[in-house]
Amino acid sequence: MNQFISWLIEGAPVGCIYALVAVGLVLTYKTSGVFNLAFSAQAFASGAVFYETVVNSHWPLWLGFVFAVLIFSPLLGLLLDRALFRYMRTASWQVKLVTALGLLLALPEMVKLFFGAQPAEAPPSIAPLIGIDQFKVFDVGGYFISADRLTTVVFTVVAVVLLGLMFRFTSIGLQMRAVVESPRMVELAGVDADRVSMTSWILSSTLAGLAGVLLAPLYFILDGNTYTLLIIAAIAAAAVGRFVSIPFTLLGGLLLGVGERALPDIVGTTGSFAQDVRPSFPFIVLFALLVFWPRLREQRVVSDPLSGVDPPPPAMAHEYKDANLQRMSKIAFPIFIAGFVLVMMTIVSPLWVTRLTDAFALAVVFLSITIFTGLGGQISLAQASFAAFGGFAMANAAEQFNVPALLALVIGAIVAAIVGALFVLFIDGLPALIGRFILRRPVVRLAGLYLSLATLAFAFMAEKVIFRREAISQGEYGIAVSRPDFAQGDRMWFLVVFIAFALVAFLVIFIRKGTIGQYLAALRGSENAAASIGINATSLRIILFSLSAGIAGLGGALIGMAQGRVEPVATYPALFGVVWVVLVVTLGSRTVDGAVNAAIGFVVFQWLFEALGLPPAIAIIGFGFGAITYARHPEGIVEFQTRKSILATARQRTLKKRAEELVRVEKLPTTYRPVWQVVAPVLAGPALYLLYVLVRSPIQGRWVAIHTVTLLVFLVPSLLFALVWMFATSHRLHQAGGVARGWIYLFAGGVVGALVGALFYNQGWVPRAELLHCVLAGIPAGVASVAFFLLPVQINRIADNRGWLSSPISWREGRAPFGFLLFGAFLFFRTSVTDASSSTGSFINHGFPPSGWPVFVLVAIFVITWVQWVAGVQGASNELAIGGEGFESPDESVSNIDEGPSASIPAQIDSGGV
Amino acid sequence: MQVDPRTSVDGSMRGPIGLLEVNDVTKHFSGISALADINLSVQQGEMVGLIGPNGAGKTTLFNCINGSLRPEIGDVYFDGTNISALPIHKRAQLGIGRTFQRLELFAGMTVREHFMVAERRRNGTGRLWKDLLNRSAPTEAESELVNQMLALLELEAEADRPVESLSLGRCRLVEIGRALMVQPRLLLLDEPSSGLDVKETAALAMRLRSVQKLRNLAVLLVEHDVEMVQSLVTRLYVLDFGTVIASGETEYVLGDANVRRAYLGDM
Repeated sequence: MNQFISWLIEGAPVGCIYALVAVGLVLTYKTSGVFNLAFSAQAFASGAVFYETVVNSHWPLWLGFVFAVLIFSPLLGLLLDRALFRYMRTASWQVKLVTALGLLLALPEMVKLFFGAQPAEAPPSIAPLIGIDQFKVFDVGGYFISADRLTTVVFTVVAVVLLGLMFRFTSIGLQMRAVVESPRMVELAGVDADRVSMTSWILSSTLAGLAGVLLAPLYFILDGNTYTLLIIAAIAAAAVGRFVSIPFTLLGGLLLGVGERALPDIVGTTGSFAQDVRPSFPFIVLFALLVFWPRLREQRVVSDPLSGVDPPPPAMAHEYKDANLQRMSKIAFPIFIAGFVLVMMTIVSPLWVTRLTDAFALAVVFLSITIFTGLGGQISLAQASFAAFGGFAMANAAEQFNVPALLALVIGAIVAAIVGALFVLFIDGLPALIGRFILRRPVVRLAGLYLSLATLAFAFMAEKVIFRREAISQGEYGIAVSRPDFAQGDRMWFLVVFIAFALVAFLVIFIRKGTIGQYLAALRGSENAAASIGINATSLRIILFSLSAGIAGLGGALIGMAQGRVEPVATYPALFGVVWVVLVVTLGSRTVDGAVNAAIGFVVFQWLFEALGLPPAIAIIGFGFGAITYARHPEGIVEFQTRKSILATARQRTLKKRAEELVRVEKLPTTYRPVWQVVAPVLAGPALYLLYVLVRSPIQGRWVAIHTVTLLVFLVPSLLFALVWMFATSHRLHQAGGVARGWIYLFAGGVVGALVGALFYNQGWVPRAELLHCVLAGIPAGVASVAFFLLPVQINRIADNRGWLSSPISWREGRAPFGFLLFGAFLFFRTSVTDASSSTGSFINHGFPPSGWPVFVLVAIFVITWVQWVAGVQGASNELAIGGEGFESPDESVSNIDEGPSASIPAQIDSGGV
Repeated sequence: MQVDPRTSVDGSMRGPIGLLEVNDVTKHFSGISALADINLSVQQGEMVGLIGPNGAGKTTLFNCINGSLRPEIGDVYFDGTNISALPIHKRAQLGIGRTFQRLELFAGMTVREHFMVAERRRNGTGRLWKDLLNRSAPTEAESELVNQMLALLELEAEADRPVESLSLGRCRLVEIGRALMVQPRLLLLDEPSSGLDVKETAALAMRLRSVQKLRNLAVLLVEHDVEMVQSLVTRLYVLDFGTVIASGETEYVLGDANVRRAYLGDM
């Protein structure tokens, strides 16, 4: 009993913090359907703001507290609701989960960017706020409790009481309670769902903020990692309340805190196992609850009544290709691959060979996500762990049993596949036994959000407990591994990795096309219906898990071999499992392209930012926020862009044919202008420059330096042409009935651009330039910025006026070039202010690879997006000239892809009955 | 204990063994009785109707027959074997096909793919290793069967369109076709005409009858449209509040006063 009281007293404060975050989790989950895994990140942000204001800016304690908890945190919650989650009410659980995961990754990195990456020591105690000396220790009937712990409990009790009073006595509180307790009733009763969800976001963010401020002093350190683990404890606490009951959630938080404290006394503190188990207690609890408590998973996943009405993602991009295009890509693809391999084996710099090899090893892991998410429709956050199983199996086989390296890779894959199969047997089989012998009813499979949470818990559990076992990783420095003898050279090793990747890629494509892929697609569409035609979901799940885990294992083994060492924590951090999934689903989880792009992006972007002298964290932030696009393009950005360009090509061809017909009857309007006539001059400058570099470099024996003058000589004519074209197009569109006086906007853009240029000069942001240069550069930039949005808007308006059902272009098309313009200005600003002599500083006068490559990558991306935009606008205005309604594009959903396909789905029509 | 399906609770014999025998099935949902002591049988090649007001338990009974739900009491026999403990897909493989009241189509797949996946499942040739060796392209025999079904249901024109782009009536046909592709011996149809207009309903009824005759199918039909029921079925069960309130020849049952009160709202 005494023991228990001491556990209670020592464990309760941390338990309180878990409970605070968990209550917020339940509130937002029930009111907006978003399972916000980013609350821990919000807590971290609030803790950091508090630290910054109080310690670094010397604000009074109370002011810092009020600012961090009562102003910053609610505003952050409001922002997330207003700017993000409000628009996802009807989205699928995948979309909501991935968005929340993206935030979980991006927010802490942003905090670190603002406040420094180092964990802050000795965070301020808020005990003095309630009049307690922070170093005082209280004696409660023989048990000692520190001021910080007591304060935590006091604040939690106050917060919970206030929350309770609000629920009881205010109208919005009553509404919220109603939503939490019975969402169905509320839909009928006409509660303002937006207001309720907004309030709950504000409230729960405040709770998370409070938790963030309270947590830091308990651990004596303010570190992002502690906070990431906080969310799992909070989920476990919320699971005790089955994600619905706030009182039980509070209880769950307390129990977790106490249990965590009690664990070392029960399992002992000696031995590494006991030491590893304690910090992973929350994961174990969460995993166990999800697996062994059927009622938890049978909880209806909270969703909007309208969800499911959204049409499913459109068909795969390649299905839009006509026979001609298909033939072309059939010929082009092998040539491209052969060329790529050839170049990689010969002239690419060794540094880049290494990087791209890493990327393809990673791409193998990413293909496991293609299988699991793209085909299986589920989201696993444990792919890094499966990769780790593969890596350690490979390393042990190779180093302990002297298995040849290539065979060891295969063993890695097989072991991981077995682990995957065991995993699914565990999470499906045990509950099935419970259902059969205890509950005497069938038990629902672990799926959707609950499966993702289980994999998340498993991933952290594996990292903390399994991979630290001596038998698996041979200590904290891991196991050294070597590549196959014939592939000691980097280029041969690239070939090995690339072949492995290619094999897996074909495997994924074959499965997707094959019977198993069709069965999985059926299962994804409707589990009930799939079973009703005799598809055995259980065996498919075993196939799905073991295939996906096996592929991840192969990738993990390749990564380990590439790095030369597999370490328990550093090689496959559990959090990477989250980053990877976010990245792959954002870029496209249904295709091999998506996985490759994600892998190359993951490797290259981090190098890119490093080379630009920017913190690599920006890449993670970018990946995290990139997840937001997932809501709009569930098929993935790569797939979306591919489809868009295929459709655009098809559309242009039809236009061309039509124009040819019109020429024959001599009725082609003068406003029609073939797209190439516009694109070629714009492209000419950059192309000439590239040619100049390629010709000149071999002659002088080293890469040509990028001189401002040469750049100007080549680029200015292109730029001038583009400007003239923009004015001319604007004029033409004006005549066709677009925005009146469009040129005024362009002119105003030019003036603002000139002013901004002058401002740059005035502020000394471009020290080596003169005022005239700045103004001259500002004018076209200003005009272009306006034109990027103005021209599509004009076209849009004309299409509207003509009563077209869909516009051939949308203002959104202008975002990409505009974004790059801003990015370019930022780079220019950055390189100008930093010391010109530093290696990461000014790159304008540097050589080509390696140090200058980021500029080329960015310039290339900019030119491509710009040319795409020019072609898009010209194509759309051609359509205005000769096309129109009745001129059908090959696919009906082409023109409003950005607005979401318009096809209606009859599947949800309800006709009553049982 | 193996119970002879012909023996009812009181021990009396009930005539010939039906293809489907539902014996004293009882199902509760959190204390509320959804089905109480249901007895029902369907013979090979017979089309039987199951009607009743909304909430009478028709879909629950379907779910108990196809395995989506397990009754607390009672057993379901198919072709003489007790299938009460079998999961859905096993029952489907034995020959029980069904459609759904709320459409359950495979989103994103075309009509042809719906039929193909069902055909693959039926002949059981789908294997992982075949996929891995890229040997999973449809064989001629499979394509032929799929084309026959497309022709039978007159879905050729829509064959390669994703099901989301089809009208409700066509979707209902796709569901029926998908169920038929696995060549069931018993077909459970859950309100196939709901959401269809008069013309579509008539066309559906015609197709159903021809398919049923052609394949000598046993059909259990849940339907609100009394005309359609009358035109199709020979026998009828009427469910109300989870119990069978009447059963027998269609004309006889529809004339029954209790039925008219409970279901048709007649005075």
